[in-house]
Amino acid sequence: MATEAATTPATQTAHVSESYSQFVRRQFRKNTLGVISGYIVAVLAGIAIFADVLANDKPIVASYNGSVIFPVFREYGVDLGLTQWDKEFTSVDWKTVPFDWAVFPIVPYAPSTTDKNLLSLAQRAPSATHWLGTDDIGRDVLAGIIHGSRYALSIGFVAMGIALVIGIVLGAVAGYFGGAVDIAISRLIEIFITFPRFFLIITIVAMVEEGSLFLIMAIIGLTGWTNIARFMRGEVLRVRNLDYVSAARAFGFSTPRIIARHVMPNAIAPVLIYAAFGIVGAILLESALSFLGFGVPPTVVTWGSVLFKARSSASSWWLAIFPGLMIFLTVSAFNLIGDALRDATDPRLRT
Amino acid sequence: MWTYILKRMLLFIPTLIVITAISFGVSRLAPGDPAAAKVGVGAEGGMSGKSTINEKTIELIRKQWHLDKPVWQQYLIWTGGILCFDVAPVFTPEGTTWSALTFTGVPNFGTSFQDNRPVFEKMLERVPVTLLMNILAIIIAYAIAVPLGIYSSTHPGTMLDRASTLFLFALYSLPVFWVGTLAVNFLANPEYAALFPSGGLRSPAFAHDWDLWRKVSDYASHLVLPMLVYVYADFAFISRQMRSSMLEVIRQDYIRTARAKGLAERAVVYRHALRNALIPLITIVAALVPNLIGGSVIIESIFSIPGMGELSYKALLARDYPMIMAVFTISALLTLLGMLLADILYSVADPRISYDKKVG
Repeated sequence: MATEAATTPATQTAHVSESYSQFVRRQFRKNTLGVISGYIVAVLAGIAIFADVLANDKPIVASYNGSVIFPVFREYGVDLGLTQWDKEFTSVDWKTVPFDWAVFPIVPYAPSTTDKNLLSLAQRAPSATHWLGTDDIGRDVLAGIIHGSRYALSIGFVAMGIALVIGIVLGAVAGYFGGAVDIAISRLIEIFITFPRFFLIITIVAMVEEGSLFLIMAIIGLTGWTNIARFMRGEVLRVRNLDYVSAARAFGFSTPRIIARHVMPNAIAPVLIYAAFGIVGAILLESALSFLGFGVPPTVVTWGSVLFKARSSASSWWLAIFPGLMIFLTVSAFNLIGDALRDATDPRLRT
Repeated sequence: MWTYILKRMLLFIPTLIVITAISFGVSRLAPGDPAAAKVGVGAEGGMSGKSTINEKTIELIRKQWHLDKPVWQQYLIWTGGILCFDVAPVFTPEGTTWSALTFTGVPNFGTSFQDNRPVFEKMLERVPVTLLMNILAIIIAYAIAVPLGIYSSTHPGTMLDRASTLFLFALYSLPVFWVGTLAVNFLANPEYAALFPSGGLRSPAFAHDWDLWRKVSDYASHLVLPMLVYVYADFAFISRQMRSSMLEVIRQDYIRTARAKGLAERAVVYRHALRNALIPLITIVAALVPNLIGGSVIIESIFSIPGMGELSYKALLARDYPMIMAVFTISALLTLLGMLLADILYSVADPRISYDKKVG
């Protein structure tokens, strides 16, 4: 990274030997809000990964008829088709099973568990049994939010991943080759930008008979690559005429190798910063879809779908507050990380 | 300049062809026969399925919406209609007779599946509400964001600068649909505080013989919450750009030069910094336009405002293809015009940008 080292002030001799990513990391750590956001995202990811252990209607570990069983983990096996539930556990209310002893998760409800004892609005409000209340059919909001983090994060990362791959490849190709290829790709980008993206996504999801999570991820990713491609194209245009790329060409390296090994690593930084904001966009899009009642099937509980419930039961304040807070927290965290990364890579802000 | 505009308009054509083709394709994504779907929609009250419906009705509907013709003919009939041509008589079972093509003078987007009314007529009723609310919101948002941005960048580190930066950041991360829901559920709900009506543009009891004051105040009380949501959404976006743009400009050499030659701070800020900081803000107008319909879908469905967004939302629920295709085309056209407008404003605001040079 000769260019990076050149712009670093001479007073910083102590850091001269560090690599670009080390440098960015050091700059990033100076941004307190960015670091805190990093921890928030880490906690969210932890909640998403361990959602089944945190909120589940099954015990984590229990003793039944003298043998120790692990129902939460057994379920993974059942879902994968590796094993089956024992006869006495198929469609059973786990709370009524006469275990010798059982350790239930902190939130002893699955997002789809409906508590049928709750008849009045007051009973559905947050209480000792349901910490964040339940929705109109008695599904625990906290369990829904815990499992919802899974959907939010996976949609954010997968959709962004799809968009990154398309955007980076098209942007790099357009920038490196120029000419007719560049014109064709730029036109394509222009058409995609012109399209009302949000409306296109709702329409496709509404038109296709059964909306699924993968469909939503795919559509958000397939329509979200334009900005990445533009950044990438601009960066590649800048990098491709630098001396070391000419040198690589003079060595007779193949074009894919030059793009992948020499051009891409130096052009990719601004693109990755955009990825943080792209994740925000994907999470917001999915929540908005669920909020409008399109998208995920009604049995799946996402943050947006809890908020959708709040529209029809206006007096259940807990349905409006908690899922929205989670979306806000997640979106803020990714936005702050994006800001911090941008500041860390901005040569004008270097100290 | 005019040659440039004309050139740009010509470039619209290929883009629009692709866009109409995509909207046409997307609307055919749904499984099953649109005619059967249309009959299903018409039979509200639970009579669903083809079994109860006369095959003849479906046949009639297929003919009426030209669904009996090949797809490329359907596409030509539809796009021809948009361009004020009646293409339908051209394609007869006997063959293609181009002499039957007639010019109607009115854009025809087909008729709505929901109530058989012309789509164009329905849209014309709804467009003014949405456009007015959006334009008003954008103006208000700029009116607050620009002075705030100037203050923030000229008084860095002060309490107000820090507070506003933090506040703006929070605003920026607040999802529109959440703010809207909170507004309706808490400020327009007798359970908590019924300060404002919960939806619509005017009260159900609205009468035309009310005096002017009563009419205005009725509209105003209905508009407070939705306008608040519109303005905050635009404001959060614009002020974020304003701040970064102003901070960028204030670091430039020519600002230092202006200060060094002893110009008053006022002149430096308003004549040198602000003018240049505003240039990137112009492109934002172009960025706001494509979100116009999408954002309106959310806000108008929350507040049940009879605008384009609500119309599109209902069309989606009813799978009203002609309506959906029209919304696509119109919003794509609006976006293209917004981009062109931004480019023109760009050259007006920044004399260094001239489009004529390239042409001449």
